[in-house]
Amino acid sequence: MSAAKKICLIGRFAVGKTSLVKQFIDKQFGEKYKTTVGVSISTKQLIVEEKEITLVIWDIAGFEQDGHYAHYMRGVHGLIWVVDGTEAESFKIIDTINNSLPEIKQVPSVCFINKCDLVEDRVIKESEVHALKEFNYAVYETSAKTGENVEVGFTKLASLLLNPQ
Amino acid sequence: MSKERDILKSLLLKEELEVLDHLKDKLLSEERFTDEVAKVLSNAIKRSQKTDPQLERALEKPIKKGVVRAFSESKQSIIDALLPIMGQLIRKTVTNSIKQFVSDINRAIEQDFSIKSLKWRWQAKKAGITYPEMLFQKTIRYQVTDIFLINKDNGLLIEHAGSDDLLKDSNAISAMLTAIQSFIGDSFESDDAHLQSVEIKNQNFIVANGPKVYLAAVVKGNPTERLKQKFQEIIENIHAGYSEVLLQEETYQNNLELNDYLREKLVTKSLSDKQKEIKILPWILITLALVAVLAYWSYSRKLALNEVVEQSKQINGLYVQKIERNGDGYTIYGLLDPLADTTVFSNQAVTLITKPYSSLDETIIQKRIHQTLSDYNGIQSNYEKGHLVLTGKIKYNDNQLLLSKLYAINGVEQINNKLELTNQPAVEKKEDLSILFDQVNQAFIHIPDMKNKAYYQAQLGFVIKNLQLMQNKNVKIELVILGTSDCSGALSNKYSQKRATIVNNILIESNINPNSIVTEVKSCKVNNQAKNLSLLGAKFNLKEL
Ligand SMILES: Nc1nc2c(ncn2[C@@H]2O[C@H](COP(=O)(O)OP(=O)(O)O)[C@@H](O)[C@H]2O)c(=O)[nH]1
Ligand SMILES: [Mg+2]
Repeated sequence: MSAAKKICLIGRFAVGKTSLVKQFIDKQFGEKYKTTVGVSISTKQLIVEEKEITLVIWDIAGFEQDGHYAHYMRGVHGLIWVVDGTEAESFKIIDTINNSLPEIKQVPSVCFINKCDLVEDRVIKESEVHALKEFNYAVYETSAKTGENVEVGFTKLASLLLNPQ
Repeated sequence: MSKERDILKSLLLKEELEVLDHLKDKLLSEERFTDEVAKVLSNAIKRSQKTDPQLERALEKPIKKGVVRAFSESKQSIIDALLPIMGQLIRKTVTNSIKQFVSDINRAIEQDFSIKSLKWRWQAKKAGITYPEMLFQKTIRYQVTDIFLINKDNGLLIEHAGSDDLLKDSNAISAMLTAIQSFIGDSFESDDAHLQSVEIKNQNFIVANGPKVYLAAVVKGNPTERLKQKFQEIIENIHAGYSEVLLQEETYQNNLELNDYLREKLVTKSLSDKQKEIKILPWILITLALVAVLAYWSYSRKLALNEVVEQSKQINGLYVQKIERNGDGYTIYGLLDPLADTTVFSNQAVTLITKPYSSLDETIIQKRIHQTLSDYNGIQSNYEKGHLVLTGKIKYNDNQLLLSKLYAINGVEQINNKLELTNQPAVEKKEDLSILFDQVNQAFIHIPDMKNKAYYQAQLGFVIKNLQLMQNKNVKIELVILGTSDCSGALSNKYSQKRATIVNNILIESNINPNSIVTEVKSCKVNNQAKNLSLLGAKFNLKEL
């Protein structure tokens, strides 16, 4: 039986969290188990460096509501912070990371700068990318639309969970 | 002016002022000291507690006293403070038991007047369980198909037992349930508000919460409050039994023992084929109505019936099974000894429909004895409690036959034979003795059991008489007593010997010379013959030496 790990996707409304999960997962429970509680759950089995791992992915909506998502973060093993490279408001997540509880900061995390296919609309500054790199093991330019770096990003997080630094 | 006064004061009251100052100083310093102590007190206690256990011990008693006093003086405020904690506990327990009680009662009322319920009551009694418990076992139809044990914090699946259908989704289901739980906790801003049941993927999940982990069970059919209670017990047991591994995620989904434990909890409670239940309540009502109508009618005849009942009780040898109204009279069904006297009923409209039987009524036994003795003249009897005393005279040749007839009467256990024998054969001449020899050699003493000595004595009467006669005439004899049996068993020979010994002892008691008696056994060659009571006894071989 493979090890199961809980990972959460956190980011502002419409940054593409759900689309990213859809892209990553061939088989998806999110639709089936859609609830009114603001969380979609999907699972995906991966083999990373010859080890099996089951990612239980919590796609959490309602990031804007203060502290709402904190409930769902309990016992989380890995985090994916998601920002939208074309939407400046979504970078406010940096403040959130800054102000988050120390135990959240210690959770292995990666950051997706999503919608990288929309090159022309890109508004994110290098300083902001740099700030994101400070708090995360890795930052990826991703596209849920083209699939760019999606698998890579998730797999990186999985390997972080299997081999804690 | 005031200066001069001060000087004057100091001159006059110098000593007094000094004392006063000293006192003032002392007072002030005490207050200052208190202030100082108050500043360091909490730290002092902390430090002292670390280094010296004495303080704790010294404080123990006054604190205890203080707490007790606080409790007794401000009960209400303490209760108020505890209520949020206690209340929840109490409410939970109370509502659970009320729910359970109500559902039990509902079911009981539903079922209580069915034939089936009577059967179940009986089965419950036989099985040594309570009726509600039996009800539960019999009426509930549900199936626990899956049990998920889930980390309450992060929703990771700890173990899953059950169907393969849900196995592949088990991680997602666990997370989903946990998310829903979190949402509820979030919405109600309370950690105590939690999911009790939810439908996911058309599956009905019942949730039982524990401090670290919770359990979600898929139940098909109608889960009962009792079942929910059971899940609560299971989750408590898991916390007690597996507390160390519950939070060790590396053991998740890999703990065979825990998995087995959960697997055991997958149960199916099924109703046996839905039989048509015959409601007997309506029948009870109809019957009650009929009884009410009949009651008045029968009341008028009751007195007469009572009379018949009383009379029938007076009759010895009549065993009444049933009395029925029969036109203007009655029919009595029952058992009747042929000797019973039913003349009481002769002038009444009472019909007896009876089967013959042998009554053990003392009067009936006496009647039987009288009937037997009526063939003989001059014999008086006295029967009491199995014991029969015979007095009077009887012909020598009739004696044995009479005794065996009397012993054949049911209820005659012992006969004290005081009959004087008449018409004894003359034994004057030597050749006459041969009759006596023949009589003895033709005799068979019936000894069906080893207990009824009186019976054997009675049968041996003439044998003893004959032997005594020979002894009196100094006829030298040799008597072989031959014990016999039906050869029906392994112990047949042994019992034959015993029979011979019984006869031997009775003869010796009757002053027959022991030296002239030998006991022998008519030995069985096989011992698998049919049982035959009439063969159990003793024979004689009497010879003149
Ligand atoms: N062009 C482009 N559109 C995207 C991408 N990811 C998401 N979207 C779109 O952004 C919108 C919001 O996406 P959604 O996944 O619902 O965001 P969520 O609220 O974070 O779950 C949708 O219309 C998506 O089609 C992306 O990588 N590229
Ligand atoms: Mg979404």
